Formats: sequence, structure tokens, C-alpha cells
Amino acid sequence: MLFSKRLIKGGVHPNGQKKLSNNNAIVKLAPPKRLFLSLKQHSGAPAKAVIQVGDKVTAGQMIATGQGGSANIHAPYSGTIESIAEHVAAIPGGGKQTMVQLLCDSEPNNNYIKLHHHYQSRAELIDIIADAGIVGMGGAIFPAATKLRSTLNKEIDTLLINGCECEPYLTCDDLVMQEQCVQVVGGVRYLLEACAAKKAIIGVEDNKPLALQALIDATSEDDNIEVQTLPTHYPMGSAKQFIQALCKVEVPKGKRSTDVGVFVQNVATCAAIYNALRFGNAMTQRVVTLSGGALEQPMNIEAPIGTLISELVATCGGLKLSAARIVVGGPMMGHTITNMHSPIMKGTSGILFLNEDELPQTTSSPCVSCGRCVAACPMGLLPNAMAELIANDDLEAAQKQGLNSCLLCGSCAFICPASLPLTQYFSYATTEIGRQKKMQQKAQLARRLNQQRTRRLEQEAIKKAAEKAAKKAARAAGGTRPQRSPRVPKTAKQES
Amino acid sequence: MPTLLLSAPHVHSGMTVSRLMRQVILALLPALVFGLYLFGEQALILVIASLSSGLITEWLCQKCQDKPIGNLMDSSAIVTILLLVMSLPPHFPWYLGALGAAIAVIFGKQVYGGLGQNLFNPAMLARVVLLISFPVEMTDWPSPTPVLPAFSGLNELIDGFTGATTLGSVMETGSAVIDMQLFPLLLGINPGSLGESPVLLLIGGIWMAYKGVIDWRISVALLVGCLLPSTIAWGLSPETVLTPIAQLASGGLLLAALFIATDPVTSPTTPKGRILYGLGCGALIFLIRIFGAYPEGAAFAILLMNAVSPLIESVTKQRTYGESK
Repeated sequence: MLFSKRLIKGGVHPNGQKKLSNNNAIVKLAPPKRLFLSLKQHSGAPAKAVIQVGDKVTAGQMIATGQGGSANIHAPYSGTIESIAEHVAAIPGGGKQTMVQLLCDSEPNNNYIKLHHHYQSRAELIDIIADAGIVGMGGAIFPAATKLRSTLNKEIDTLLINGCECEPYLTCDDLVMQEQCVQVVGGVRYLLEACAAKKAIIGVEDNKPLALQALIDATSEDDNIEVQTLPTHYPMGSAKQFIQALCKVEVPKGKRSTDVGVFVQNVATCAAIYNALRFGNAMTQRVVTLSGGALEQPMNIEAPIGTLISELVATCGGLKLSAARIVVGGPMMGHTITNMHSPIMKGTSGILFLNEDELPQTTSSPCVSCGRCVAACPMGLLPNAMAELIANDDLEAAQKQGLNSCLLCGSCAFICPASLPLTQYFSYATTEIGRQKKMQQKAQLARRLNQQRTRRLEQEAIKKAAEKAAKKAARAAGGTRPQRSPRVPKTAKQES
Repeated sequence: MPTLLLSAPHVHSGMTVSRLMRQVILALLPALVFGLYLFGEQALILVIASLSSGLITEWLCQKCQDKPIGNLMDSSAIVTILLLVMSLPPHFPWYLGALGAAIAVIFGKQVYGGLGQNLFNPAMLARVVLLISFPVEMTDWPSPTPVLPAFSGLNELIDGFTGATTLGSVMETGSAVIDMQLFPLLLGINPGSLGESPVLLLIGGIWMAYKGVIDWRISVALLVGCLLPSTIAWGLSPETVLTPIAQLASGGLLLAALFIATDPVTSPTTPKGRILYGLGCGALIFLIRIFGAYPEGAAFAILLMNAVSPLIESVTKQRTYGESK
């Protein structure tokens, strides 16, 4: 360990806690009575609702269309649109979002509107993925089609499929790889076509032997799909580190993975892509991990998008202890929520109900500059120094130290013996810098508009003066009035 | 239902600063206990007096502050005082030991603001203050007189060593040709500081490195920095320079390499910086031992390197991911 060459720099080894939820098969949720479909399931602008309150919808019908690089949203079940209104959402900060409230039919019919899923070219293939409303399910929630379109004018050498699931507690990708390996591998084949890559590598951490075996079996006849075992090491599943581990290249600062000829996609997204292209199914379901020490029976549930978290908890037999923290996503990077009456979204990989014993202490002690954060940072930053600068409100200096490279992966705060909220400093600073930049842009815009206005007024004045002079000259030429000597402006005199 | 929104990560390694400090104390204990066994009750009184004085001073300092940094329970003061005491002559007057402990806490740590804020290693700062203020007491090295005859033959071994420390006698006589047996040398049964037993310090140090309490880079770099030039010097002039083994086992070299230079507060945080810092400490110890006016220079060497530690840190910034190589 001491001298072995490590695949990624830094990182930590948190307790996986995978056994809580990876022993049981995926449970399919019975159709819920109501679904709450947020219009902002993805990064980018919210989708635009294309239905009215009171409309009847069929399963698979598009209810909102993506605009400006965002993704379509479809009805998971048939039913009636009850309202389109603000509803509490499972988003950082606990705010509200506009959601379509769907009252599902009590007697579900088997009608399902299929997507048109025949294609002739790469662009058409990508269009089907766009129609299906597929977003990255690993947490980035970036529309998959938008990402794929960026490969059309770039050469992609390797397609990397991320099955690391390095966050503790989460096992949804593990179970998807085990139970839906055919769909996953099918999706990989489609993706190879979509981005015209030469080969694909599926990377899985070695704490998921069953998933690895399933994938190896499913890819036995594919020459261009390789399954690779990676050591269990957080944050192996972060795209930049994943690329570093498998391709031995680093994505240069400010560039994207496609710039180094690599395209990364998550395993569950591959399964969704397969379902869209093979069967014409839109993305209306996903597998969610429900876990944590406060939950009666942790498990993985395949639920329609828009299911309330409270319904999923009921399926797990409720809580056995009072949850000290409810986390959406993994415990290293996820955010907390306080209201279980919020629905899951396309990017919700897990909901954790952590009890008091599982939580870190919330009081911190002074930094003794032990350097553990420096050793743990996968990006090679100096978290202690950056946090100190941010605490002193010197955001510019923190940026010079490399704040923009920070992944907010939480490795530094996890390892810190002083329990300093390092990640909190960095997420505050990145948000604050973004806000300041926006203000600056606004101010610049205002200044530019103001300058344009002054210039325009000046030009108009000059034009007026010229017209006046021309009129005068015309009149003088006509000889109707006696010519007066031109007046010298007073201001010019004073200035000289 | 939780009502607070809290920031990620929601799990933690479980390591705390006070646990780190307790692990250092645990690693120090074998050498300390052996030292007490060798040097008797006078040494025990010195340890007790210093600890009481240091802890009371720490408590008073924190009482005086509105927002004290750190607290008595984080054990950091105990580590500081133990390191000071273990580097003192075993029969050093207890009241001066108590004074030293108070100096370490007040001028080594609290004037800077408390735990984690100090520039210099508090234990070494206090040791240097004592060395300059009380040179006679600080260079009075008694022979070990074990309170219990643990095993036969020990007393005979001990009889062979009286008077000055190994390094001190080389400094005085200019001759490094000393009749020495390896066993007592490695176990530390010779005149020297209270906690200098090389083997027991090494056991504690290796355990700490294994547990990740200290960074092995500093220790290894310090030993290389001191012993590499020492070996060359010994090869050139074996009459006036001690053998590398004797160099390693004498003075505070191992205590410095494993416990003092590895103090996180006063050493750099970058891996490269730590190697540079360790090499610097080692090289300075070598220079002071060979050319300096004092026989042993670990305290001075570490204080000097403490002063440049922030500088080392800023020039050894690591390359961030995605930056050109």
C-alpha cells in the first residue's frame, strides 16, 4: 500500500455500508396514487409544460418539453393532471419547484405511448435519446443527448461506463448491473454507435463482485467492450478521477472529457438508453437506494419519477429510529432535506436516513495543520490553506489556490481530525463567486448600455446641429434672411 | 424529523485531534517509563512537577481568554510537556522543570493564540530557554541508577558509563574512540536525557507511522539528512567523529525525528515540503554536532526549520489535477 502505484491521487476509504441494502433484489413499487413531476429534473432551464390542468394523460405521454438543452418529461402512468403548482422539492436548500401533479388512474391500463425509435444516423439516434428525456443518472443530471451531441464534431476514442458507485450506502447501480446487465450492455452498444468510439470500458469497484461477474458474462461476445475492476477508493467514481484511473490521462483544466477523446456515462443511464432505443420507452422510472441506520428495511426500489419519498419509506417498513439526518444522494456529496413530502427526481440515486451514531460530530476543534486534507485531496489542492483564505473572505486568493478545481467531493472534511467543515467553505465560496460574477456582468451590461445611450444622444445632437446648419445654409443661399456670424459656444471658451 | 439543513459530508473518519494527541502520548510512554526506571524518583518528581505546572498554566491561560482556541481536554499540552521533560537531564531541578513547562505553554503556544497557531515547537522553545538560562543544570548528566535490578549484568554495564553524555564527551575530548557496547547504547542505558532510549522510541515511532499519526517522510528525511553526512564525515575522520550507529542512538536524534519534528503544527503540510523540512532539520543537527558550540543541536535545528516551514510550504505546492506537468 505504501509504495504501490495508486490509480488516483489522494482519496479516502469511508466505510462502504453497502451490505445494508445490496442483499435483496430490486423491489418494484406498486403504482402510487399521486406523482409530483418537477419541471426541473435536470441541469439547465426548466422544461415547459405542454398539458393543461384537467387533461387526461396516457402513460409515456410527454407532459413537458425540454428547452435550451434541457430534457423532456413524460407521464409514468395514465391519469389526470390535478395541478401545475409549486411543491416542496428534494433540492439543496430545501426550496420549492414548479411541479405537475398527476393523479394516477386507480385501474391502470396497459396503454403506453411509445417513442418513435427508428434511426438511420448518429444524429437521429441521439434525437431519440433526447426525446426519451434521459439525463445522467449518476448525479450530474446533465441531459444525455446534449452531452452526446457535443461528440458529433469531436473524435472519441474510448467510451467509459461508470459503475464505480464509490459513495457509501448507495447500491442502486450495483443492483442495476446485477439484474439488468443485459440492458446496461445493450445501452453501451448503442452508446458506442452514438459517439463513434472505438472501444468501451466498464469500470466497477472491486466491492461489487456479483455485478462484475454479471457484466463479464454479458460482454463475453463483445470484442470492443471491456470490464475492468477498480480498487474501492473514494472518489473513484468522480468523472475526472475515473478517467485518470482507466485511461491514465488527466482532463486539462477548463476542458471537458470529450477534449481528451473520452466520453463518460453512468451504468443506469446506459440501461435507460437501451430501453429507449430498443423498446421506445421514455425515462419514467429509476432505481433508488433507501438505506441508513434509521430505516427498518433498507432496500433498492424501482419507482416512477415523482414518487413521494414518504411512500418509499412506507415500502421499507418505515423508520425504526428517528432519523437524525435525511440525505438525498450519497453521504459524501449528498444534501439534506427536512420534508419527506418531496418527490424523487431523475437524478435521485439514494435517500439515506442516518441515525445519530452514523453522523459526524458537528463541533470542530482548531486546525493543527496535520496535512491530512492535503494528502486526501484528489485534485492536489491545499484545502486547509483555501479554507483559511475563505474564512478571511479572500475569495480571489482562494481561487488562485485552485478553488475552481474543487470537486466538493468531501474527502478533506471526511478525514479532518479537527472536523472542520471544509467542504462547506468551498461550496459557499464557489456559490459566492458565481453570484459576484453575475453581479459584475450585470454592472458591466448596465455600464455598456449607459455608454451606448450617451453615445447615441451625442450623435443625435451632432446630427441635429448639422441639420440645423444645413437648413441655415440653404436659407442663406435662398437669400431670404441676412447671414449671421456663427456663435462660438461658451463652454469651449471656458475650457480653454 | 430533522429540522436543520447541514452540509456534506454526512460521514466522518472518526479521527479527532485529541485522539491523535493521546496516540502520541501512548507512543511516548515506553521510553518515558523506562527513563523513570533508570533515573529513579527524582526524575518522577520532575515529570509530575512539570505536568502539573504546565496543565495549570494552560488552564489559567484559557480562563483568561474570551474565546480560547482548544481546550485542556485535547491533551495537546500533555504532549508538549512530556516532550520537554523527556529532552531534559533526568535529575533537572523540579522547580526549573515546572518553570520550563509554563514557558512552553505561555510563550510557546498561548501567546500565539493557542493550539495550532504557534510558529515554533513549544517544547523545543522552552528547552532552549532553559539551556541558555540554566546552562549548569542543563548539562548535568547523572548515570542511570535503576531502582530495581531487572536483570543481572545490567549494573555492570551501567558502571561503564559515568560522567558526560556520549556526544558531550566527544565534544570535550575531541576523540570519538569510546569503548562502547551496542546493547546498552541501543537501549539507552547511558547518561543522557530522561527519555532517550533509542529502541523504545523507535517502537513508538514506527507504531505512530503505521497508525498514520505521523508522516514517515519527515522522520526518514531527518535521519537521512543527519546520518548521511555523518557517515561521510566518519569515513573521513573516524578518530573525531562518532560511528553512525552511535550518532543515531545518542542525543535526541530519534526523539527529534519521530516525535518533535513531526509536530504537525510547526511542520509543512505538503509531502515534498515535509521531505525538505526533514532533510533541513537533519542537516542542521549534523552541522551543530560537528561544528557547533553545543554537543547536541536538535532543539536549535528544529526551531530554525520551524521558522522557514511556511516558506517551504509555499514553494512546494503540489501540482493540481489537470495542470500541465
